[in-house]
Amino acid sequence: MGVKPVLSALKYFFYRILTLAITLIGLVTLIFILIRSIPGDPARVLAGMMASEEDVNLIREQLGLNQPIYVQYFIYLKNLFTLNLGVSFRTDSPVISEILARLPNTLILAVTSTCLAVALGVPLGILAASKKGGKLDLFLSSLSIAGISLPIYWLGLILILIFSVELRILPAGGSGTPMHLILPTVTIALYLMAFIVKITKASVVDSMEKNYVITAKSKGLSERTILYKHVLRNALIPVVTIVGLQFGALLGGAVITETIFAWPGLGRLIVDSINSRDYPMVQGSIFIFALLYALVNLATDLLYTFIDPRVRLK
Amino acid sequence: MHQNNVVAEVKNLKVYYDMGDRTIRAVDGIDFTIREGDCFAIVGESGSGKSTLGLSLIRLCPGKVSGEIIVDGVDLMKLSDEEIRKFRCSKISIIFQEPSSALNPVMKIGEQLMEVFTVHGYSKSEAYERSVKLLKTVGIPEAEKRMQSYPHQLSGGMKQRVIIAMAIALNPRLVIADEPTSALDVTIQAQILNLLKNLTKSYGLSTILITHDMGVAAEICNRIGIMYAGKMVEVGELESIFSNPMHPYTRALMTCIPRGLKGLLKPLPGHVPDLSNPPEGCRFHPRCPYAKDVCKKEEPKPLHLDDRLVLCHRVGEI
Repeated sequence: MGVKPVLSALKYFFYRILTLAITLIGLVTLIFILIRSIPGDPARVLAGMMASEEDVNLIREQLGLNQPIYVQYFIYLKNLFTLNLGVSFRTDSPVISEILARLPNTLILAVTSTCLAVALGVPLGILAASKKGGKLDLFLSSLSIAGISLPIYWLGLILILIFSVELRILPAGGSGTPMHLILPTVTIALYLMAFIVKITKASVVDSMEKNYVITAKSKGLSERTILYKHVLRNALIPVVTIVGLQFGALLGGAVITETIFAWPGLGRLIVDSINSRDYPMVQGSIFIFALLYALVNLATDLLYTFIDPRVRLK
Repeated sequence: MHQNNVVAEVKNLKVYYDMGDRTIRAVDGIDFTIREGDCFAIVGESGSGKSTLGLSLIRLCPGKVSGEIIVDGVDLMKLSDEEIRKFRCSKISIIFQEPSSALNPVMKIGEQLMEVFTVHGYSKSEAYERSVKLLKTVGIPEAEKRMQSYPHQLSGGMKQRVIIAMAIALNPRLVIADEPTSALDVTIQAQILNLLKNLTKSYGLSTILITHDMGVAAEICNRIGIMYAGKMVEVGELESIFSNPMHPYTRALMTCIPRGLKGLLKPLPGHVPDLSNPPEGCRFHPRCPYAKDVCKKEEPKPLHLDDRLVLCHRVGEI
């Protein structure tokens, strides 16, 4: 490796960070406006329905909501640049500490379900492709269509019904033990796996029809060697992208799954904060989510340069 | 002449594609013989079945193949999948038309080249040494460095040289080159043809060159077979065919070679027929200026005249 590739990698990295910063500023602005356009007054929510107008005004003043909206916006931006996400309206504790308390749960769920989905989905997709048109392919393809089409809340509830209510072997919700992790993981993984099976199969089938496969055959290579040495290296490139994007999305918290299984992750934090009009909390958690998502995207793109020699940093 | 050293013999080869409601007869009963050192050109328009023929010779054609393909005394049609795998590249190899898509984009040149050796029992280090030597043989500069390159880092001509290197790696008895220069620039075409010509001589290879271009065939071949609508309509020595083309289709193809400004380029009217429903009688009769009633009804029988084979009712009359 010479100096040149390192330099171009640094340049690329700098470029990506810059675009990331611009994206994030745009995003926080959008969130700032959107959350304020939802009907409902945070001060009224906090004070309660029975509170007097005076008390509500007092709270409004304490929260800084009596200032003009552009002043609020610039204060928010200024705080953001000093990495201060503010204080929750609801709990009065720093937003960042609430998020950090929830983040590990979301991370665990995202990692376990993605790993499970990849570990099962990729081999099954390859299997379906190598038996294309056969009974096994038909079975796996129908299963994957079913997996993609089933609503996640329905699947989650059915799993609770079977494993918690009927069989009584797994907890229906909450967190704390590895047992609590199983049902939410399976719920997300089944959907993701179905998706991965479909993508993998399509990509492998597509690659198997390429001319270099005929070349490989003409060299005297066996079908098996061609599949594992030639086809998969090409076919798994799009799968990496899909998995990366899905994993990034999961980092924001699987809102529905977390709600069904009372899993204390980021997704539920966002939903709860929106319900209580906790502006700093909504803004903060969405900011962190976007940041994580962008970072995963960046990591996927960097990974690309390793698995596909045609892709070079520009 | 060289009756003893026949390298390959193809007898009554047929390749049919079953399309459900109809059958496409892409190759319909073809015979020819390749002798040692021969460069045999198969010339025809697109859709004449020549690429199908090439693929079927190495048993890589998806269609239904019947007949005999005898290479080095062995009928390839009778080999099991395992046996044919060992035969490929070691006894019979193929060069494809599009070098860009024929190489795996995510594998290094060296890896793809070495594979030819390792799959046929060579050790890794031996495969490496031979691959580097091969790249030099086919005229690739900085061979060691190129071993580490990916296909997209090479020009089209260089890629085709790599493909040629793969095809000659194990010194096979027969090399099939399917339009090896069609996807390349004109200047590069000449280089690649020269390379093929030199390799054929120095390695004593026998080759089948599939092309639509009579000029390319004339450049490097000594024998020529004219293919039309799944049939070989005329086969013979290059010079004798060029000096005395007997089949009307051969004549028509010859007028398609540009010969400077004075030459009259006469395009052949009409199209290659639908191979699922070829015309009755002689398949060329709808486009043939000499067609008589007999041509419309009866299929012409192969006529052997010295070293020549012609499939025409009107040989000698026209």
